[in-house]
Amino acid sequence: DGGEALPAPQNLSVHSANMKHLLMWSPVVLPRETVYYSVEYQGEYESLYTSHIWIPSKWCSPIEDAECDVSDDITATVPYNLRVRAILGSQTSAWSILEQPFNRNSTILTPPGMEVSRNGFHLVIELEDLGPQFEFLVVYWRRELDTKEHAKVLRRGGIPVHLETMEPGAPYCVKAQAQVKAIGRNSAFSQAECVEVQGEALPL
Amino acid sequence: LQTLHLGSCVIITNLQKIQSEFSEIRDSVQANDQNIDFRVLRNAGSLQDTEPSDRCCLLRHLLGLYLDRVFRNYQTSDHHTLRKISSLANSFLTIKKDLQLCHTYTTCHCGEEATEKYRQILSHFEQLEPQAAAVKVLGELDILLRWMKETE
Amino acid sequence: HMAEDSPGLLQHVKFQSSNFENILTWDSKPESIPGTVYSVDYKTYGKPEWLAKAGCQRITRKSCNLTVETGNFTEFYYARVTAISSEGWSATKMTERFHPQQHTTIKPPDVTCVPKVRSIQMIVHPTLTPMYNADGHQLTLEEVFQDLFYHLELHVNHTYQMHLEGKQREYEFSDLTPDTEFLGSIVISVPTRLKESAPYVCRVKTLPDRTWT
Repeated sequence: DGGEALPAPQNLSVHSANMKHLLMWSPVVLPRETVYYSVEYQGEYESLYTSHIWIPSKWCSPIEDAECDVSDDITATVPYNLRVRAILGSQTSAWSILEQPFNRNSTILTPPGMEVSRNGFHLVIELEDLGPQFEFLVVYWRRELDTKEHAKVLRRGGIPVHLETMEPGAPYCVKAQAQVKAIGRNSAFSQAECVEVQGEALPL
Repeated sequence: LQTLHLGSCVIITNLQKIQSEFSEIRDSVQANDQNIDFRVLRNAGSLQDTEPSDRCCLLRHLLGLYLDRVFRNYQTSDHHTLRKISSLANSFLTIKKDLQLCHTYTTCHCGEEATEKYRQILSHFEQLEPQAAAVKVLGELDILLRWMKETE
Repeated sequence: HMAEDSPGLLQHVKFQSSNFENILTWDSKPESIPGTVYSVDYKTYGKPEWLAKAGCQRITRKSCNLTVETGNFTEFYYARVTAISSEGWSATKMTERFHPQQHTTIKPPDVTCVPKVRSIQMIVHPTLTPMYNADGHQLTLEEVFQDLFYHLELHVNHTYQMHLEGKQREYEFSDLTPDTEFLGSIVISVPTRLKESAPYVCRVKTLPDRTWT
């Protein structure tokens, strides 16, 4: 140990998509050494009322990777300060602080993955499971002259759910949008997918 | 999400999320409250029994109490509790900012009722030593949540 | 002879509550200590006085029904048990703060599933609680929890589900295939209390279609 100070991690940034927030930084590389990191956060409350207080991240105090999933730490829609330091044995580096506070309302919301199928005369949809903070607005219509759209809100993904009972003679089309009430935002709609029922009308 | 009707001030908040965060620390916080003969948030001072036009002001004061003197003074070395309190505090801060907007647009009027009710609550609060008061009133957070819920 | 505290005499003093039936229970270790008697007190949080529960003084069983005494579902309560053994040992333990609306679990709903040829009707019956309002009217769960609603699922040959939900009591899953078995699952949900009952499950078969026979 040459007595040199352990360098602090650099290039902190947050990549956030679909309410999964990943804090990333450039690793501190030392030959033949395993460097760990420790991540801490403070919400707007702490920075306003108790600025000396930083809270250890749930999953990354310490961690070996040069990234940390802070989704379980960022639990309110307020700006959060984040900081990281390197740890080598008993040595710790200075803290590096994220330049701009992160607010979860800036997360990127992608159109949800969707699988549309039919089971007999039933139109069935299965949406990507994006976690408990997500609901889905599903819009569906029978593609013919006077197309009338119908809408349904599904509270969770990951299970195939019946949307409508179809009649032969025209395809039924479906599109879906992810909604996150906690931040009051929606994704764009997915591409529409259509299915059709062949043969005679539904027996009465 | 819940819509709270506080006179002409209407705000939307996620009480369920706050309730869920608090339920994770409720029993341990309440277990630290040694004085179960005494209650700070009493039914007489409740939000839902307050004139609608005064509710916003009373809630703003109550949230201020939690932000200034409860979350700040609650001492714990347990990281889980620390994280939950941070989550509650930042959620309360979000609600307080919404109420601040109402205040800016003069829909958060402080009438006699709100002023008197908050004065009583504060006098109960100040009968206790600061740390004990923080423990007790944090343990009474489910009372405040129920008051807020009943203004839906 | 001053009774000394004996931890094994009394353990796990807690409320067990479902649909607002609030039962205080406790244990001892070993399982039973002959001659031990138990006495129960209860109080409202914020009030100084402990009240003795009539009918649960110097009892030998390890439970006590405090439904009536903790019947105001907006209040917060404590209960405590004092155990005294025949050799003079004693122990007193208290519950955590008990809030009926918070702590009660919701039992599965009572539902009648009625199969038809191309549909299945589901009728949810109201769930009465042991609580009454000022006019003496017995309260249902729906009246206690304003945001209570029912969530119904019909599982179709293990591949997909049909969902219905709402506050009303009658529902119908339609456009089904005759003479086919389905699995129905109905839960009571109270979102603001983060509560959901265990499901009532009914396995039901649609009637055969005899129109063309």
